[in-house]
Amino acid sequence: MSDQAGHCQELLGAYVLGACSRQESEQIAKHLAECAYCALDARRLSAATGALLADVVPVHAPAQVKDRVMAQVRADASLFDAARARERDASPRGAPAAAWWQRLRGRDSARGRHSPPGRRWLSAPAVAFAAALLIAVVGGGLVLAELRNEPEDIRIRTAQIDHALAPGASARLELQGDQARLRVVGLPAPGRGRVYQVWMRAEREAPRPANATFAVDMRGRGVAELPAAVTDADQLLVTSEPQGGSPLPTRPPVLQVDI
Amino acid sequence: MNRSTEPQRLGDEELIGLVADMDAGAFEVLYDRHSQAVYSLCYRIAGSRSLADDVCQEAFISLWRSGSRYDPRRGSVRSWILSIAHNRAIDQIRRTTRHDARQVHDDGDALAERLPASERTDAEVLRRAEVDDTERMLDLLPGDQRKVISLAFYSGYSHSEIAEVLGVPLGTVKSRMRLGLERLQVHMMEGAER
Repeated sequence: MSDQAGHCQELLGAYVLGACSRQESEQIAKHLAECAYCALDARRLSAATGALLADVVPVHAPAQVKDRVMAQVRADASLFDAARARERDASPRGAPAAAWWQRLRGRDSARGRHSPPGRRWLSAPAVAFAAALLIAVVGGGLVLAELRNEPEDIRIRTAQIDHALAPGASARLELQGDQARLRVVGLPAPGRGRVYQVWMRAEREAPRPANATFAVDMRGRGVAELPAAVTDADQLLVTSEPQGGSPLPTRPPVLQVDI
Repeated sequence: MNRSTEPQRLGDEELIGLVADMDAGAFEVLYDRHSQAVYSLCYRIAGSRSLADDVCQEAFISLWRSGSRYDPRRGSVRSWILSIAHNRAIDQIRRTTRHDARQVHDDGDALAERLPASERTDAEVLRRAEVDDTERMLDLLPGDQRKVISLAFYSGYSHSEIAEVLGVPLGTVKSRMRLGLERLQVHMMEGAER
């Protein structure tokens, strides 16, 4: 990888353009951490790629993209606010949890993360982590911790909920590589002797079973691991069905996800 | 910073701090400020409205959930957001494209070939827009350098794939990439000095 002088200049252009193999990229990243000469060179070349990011023909984002983004953002924020409020309620005068928070906050600062001046509230990951620790009393804590620590390459599809059937529920489809997972929060129990069943639907076709059923706990939380085939569908639906599942939906969907 | 301060009056770095606290209002201001740049980049890479919609959405949701990871020492909020979008878009086209099935004659052809027929109109519009716009930085480069940089940065090809589809040695591709980036950097510095 390196030249006779021990540098990797031949590959740096490809590296900053993201055109190296994974193995090459790892080797170069390791080299840049040790070689100030190449690191400076890489920063210089990266300035050009940074400019290329914005050097494109302007195109307006459609309004529906903002609508979808903000719907997810507000749903997350609402869940987070509820968990934060429960945390406050669960620790009278803020004693035990505040101690955790202060420790976490100190650790966050020590890592040199960005912290805006005058910010009085704690960093979200710290709160989410504390919420996870207090899972016995905090309903949404684990979900929040997972939200804030999810892998970078995960793709999320937000579900549309029928709030007449499932008031206050939220759900999302997580896609990562060939894996697909449906995660729900706040879904009511499906009924005695019943389960929630997941359906796949292609455009203008009847729903077909996704070979996945799931139950929810007392807080309405549930997870369905889905087969990779669901990524070929246009839409997922979830209905309440008798234990063991049905060949066709027998009740209206409580939620649906456009893939 | 007072939380009652109107988010529109705040700078990006202050806003991203609020986003780290899951402040939806602050996030919306960031969205409004940067969505056109992000969407334009997504569209340039993805080559269709439908893919650009998905990638843009994923990029902003990722920003929302990773706001606390922003490190001002590594650049502006805008460049961070654009980097997230770029990574997402390249991942997306690599997932949906079989590179070995592509025959590349120029960048526009590659873009059209990886799209379903129903979406090729978008690609053609984009290509025409690029041809019409002579102010793009890449147009400052000789054609051979422009092509390898464009294929790598906007189309997600690796250096070895580019060498194969263009039929030139790998070393040539690497040196064209480097020379092209150096030339762009010189243009940027000259522009800054003017």
